[in-house]
Amino acid sequence: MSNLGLVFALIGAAFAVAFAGAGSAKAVGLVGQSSAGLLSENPSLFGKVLILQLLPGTQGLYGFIIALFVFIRTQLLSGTPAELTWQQGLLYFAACLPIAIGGFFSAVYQGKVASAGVSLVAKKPEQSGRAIAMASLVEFYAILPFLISFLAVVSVG
Amino acid sequence: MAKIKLVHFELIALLQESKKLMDYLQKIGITEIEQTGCPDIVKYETDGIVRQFERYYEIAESAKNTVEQYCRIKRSFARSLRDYDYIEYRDFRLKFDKADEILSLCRDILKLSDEISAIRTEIIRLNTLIEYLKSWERLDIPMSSTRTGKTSIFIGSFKKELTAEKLKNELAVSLPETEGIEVQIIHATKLLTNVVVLCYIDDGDKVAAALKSLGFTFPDSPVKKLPSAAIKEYQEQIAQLEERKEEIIIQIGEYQSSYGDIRFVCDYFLAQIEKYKTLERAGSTDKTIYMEGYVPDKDSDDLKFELEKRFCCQIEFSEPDYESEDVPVLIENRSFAAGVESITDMYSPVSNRDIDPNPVMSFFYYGLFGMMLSDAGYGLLMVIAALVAKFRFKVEGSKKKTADFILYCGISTVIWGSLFGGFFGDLIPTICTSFLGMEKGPDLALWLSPLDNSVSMLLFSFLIGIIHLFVGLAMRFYTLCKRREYVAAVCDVIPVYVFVTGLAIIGKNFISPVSEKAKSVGMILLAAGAALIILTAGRSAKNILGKLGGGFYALYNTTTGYLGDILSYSRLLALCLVTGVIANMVNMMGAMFGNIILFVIIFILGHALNITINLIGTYVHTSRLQYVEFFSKFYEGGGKVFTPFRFHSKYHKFKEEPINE
Repeated sequence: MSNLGLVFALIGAAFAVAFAGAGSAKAVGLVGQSSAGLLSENPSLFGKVLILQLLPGTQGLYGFIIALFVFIRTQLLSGTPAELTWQQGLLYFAACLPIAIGGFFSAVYQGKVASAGVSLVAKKPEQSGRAIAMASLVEFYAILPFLISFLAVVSVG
Repeated sequence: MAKIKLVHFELIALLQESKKLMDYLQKIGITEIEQTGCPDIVKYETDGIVRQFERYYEIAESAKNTVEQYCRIKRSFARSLRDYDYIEYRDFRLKFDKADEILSLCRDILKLSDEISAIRTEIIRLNTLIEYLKSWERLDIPMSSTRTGKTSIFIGSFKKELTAEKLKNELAVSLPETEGIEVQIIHATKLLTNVVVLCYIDDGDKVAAALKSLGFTFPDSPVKKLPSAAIKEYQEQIAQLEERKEEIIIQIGEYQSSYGDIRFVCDYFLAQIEKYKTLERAGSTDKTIYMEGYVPDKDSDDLKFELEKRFCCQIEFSEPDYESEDVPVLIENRSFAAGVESITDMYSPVSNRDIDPNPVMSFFYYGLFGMMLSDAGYGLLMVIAALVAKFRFKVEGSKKKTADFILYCGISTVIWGSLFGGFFGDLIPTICTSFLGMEKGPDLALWLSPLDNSVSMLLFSFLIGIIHLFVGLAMRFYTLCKRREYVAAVCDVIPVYVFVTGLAIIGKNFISPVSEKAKSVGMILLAAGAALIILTAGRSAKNILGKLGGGFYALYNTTTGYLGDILSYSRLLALCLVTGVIANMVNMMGAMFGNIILFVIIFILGHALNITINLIGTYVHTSRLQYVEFFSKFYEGGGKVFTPFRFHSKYHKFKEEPINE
């Protein structure tokens, strides 16, 4: 295993994009289901619930950005990947963990809040601003792991 | 001072003039009428009449929507921002007598629109029938036929796919002795096969039983005619209905000239609903009407003069009783501070015990907002959007406040974006390196780039936070002084200033070392502040132990509380970085292919997404910093917003008229 480091780095990238993406998929799906129920009654609220549904989608994006950065840092995309020691590889792996774990859970919980927000909008459409605000508060705990992962990936190596 | 002083008024007038009086008060729209507290007078019962007007309003509103739908009245973007006509109140008033006439016209329109819906339903029903009959179209006898002279006829379906041969075989298996069964497949799909089965009339019963056991069902609604003839007839009916529908649409189209009138009655009924709802708060005797409420002090003299000139009435003003009554609060700010009023109201409206926080808060709100969004390009888009709304569409009222809010947030974002060097992320350096072949793009940051100096940026965030918190404390000092609680003002505020300043200097030492001199100053301040808090915070307790205990407890609370508050400002760094990082990624992905068209597409989509997500995030987190960190220092809220009795018209805007016209 001459390039074990790269293997670790790529597992890290895979974790980042897969877990954060899985959390987002679960959450966006959940909100989508409750939105569809509401839209059958009142299609004009589509714009409002669409934002609620999109909100927990950002974690997947954050995971993707981190994975892409690992690719860039390891020069994978250029065709000749950098030679990494296994220690360096593990560093990349560790750097990916915050967004993988934090992204997954924050997405799921943000999805739950957003889904409850859809029920709020169903009863009181004028309260959609507050529903969005509540869901965005969870977003912050995706932003923090994302930033830490990002700063770590950029500084490693 | 942004809070407008209100005075309480009591008004008594002749009952016979009450209608005119209410109309006048509604027109000038400066008085808030309260539930009268006078026990000995009769209350108005206006429930019934309010409900009646609400029904009329619904009729008018649906008539308006019908006309809009069928007359292709344009619902442009401009209309959605500013859907009203300018009118003189006098002209509006003149139309009042026509209201009944217009209402009956609205009823006619509704009848027509009901007929259209009935026609629609009928067409759908006929189409379903035709759809069903199409599967029987090849049948050349009526569907209801059951026999001829010598044969039994079975017309019906199986809920599966069958061929004539397969069905014959199945029948042969279950009826080995019966001969002369004829099978014809009319229509076959995967889920449905329509068949005609013929047999000698004597075998009818046996065949029927056998067919039933194979899953044969008779049609639910057989038609007496030939299916093809029935289809034709239904199609003709549909054509007639369509024709009738067109006629009705043309009839509705004739009402287009009355569109303005219909909009007028919508507003007229709204005004009536509002008037009678307000009237319920007043009281009356045999000959007089009595009401009380609040009016801005500056308008009270004019109001008295005008009322007494126009009506036989008496109005008295008095100082509001802040202790026992829930006196409403009226706030008036210039556009800069008015923009954030809705943010404060969302938390809790200003009460009489508070000072208006909006003027001070607006500086911080716009400042922190810009710092978090921190992209000059995004800020520029906000400024343009706000200016277009303000000057192209001339939005008014609360929409104007929103436009101002976006404008100032945008300006601040442009300023911070320029300081941090973000213009659609690193758009300009990316273009320079990817498309213009330069080695390295220019560094645009006028001050520092947060991504490369994250530690300085973090410290700067904390510094901004401390300033924000200290201003909040100063507001507390001011509020307490206004309430003449001078001891509390000094003891609650000064020790915290000393303590937190010391805390900040020592804290900074952990992140990046400070000079020895500063460190010792910090230590002294920290110790002095702690001592002051211990000595003053427990002052409400009775004995010396309680005082000391309260003091230590307060010291603990202050330390953890302010530490948490200050650390909370790290979100300034976090949100600032995240905007930049995602924006840079979008540019990088766009430039990856080296194709300018792909770059533009990715650029537009990516930045649109980034703006949306970050606008929401920035808005929420800026609000949070005001609510949790800033307001908790001095603001109580829980006030009642002054809502004058006026005319909330939807489709008309009255030209500005002073009360004495």
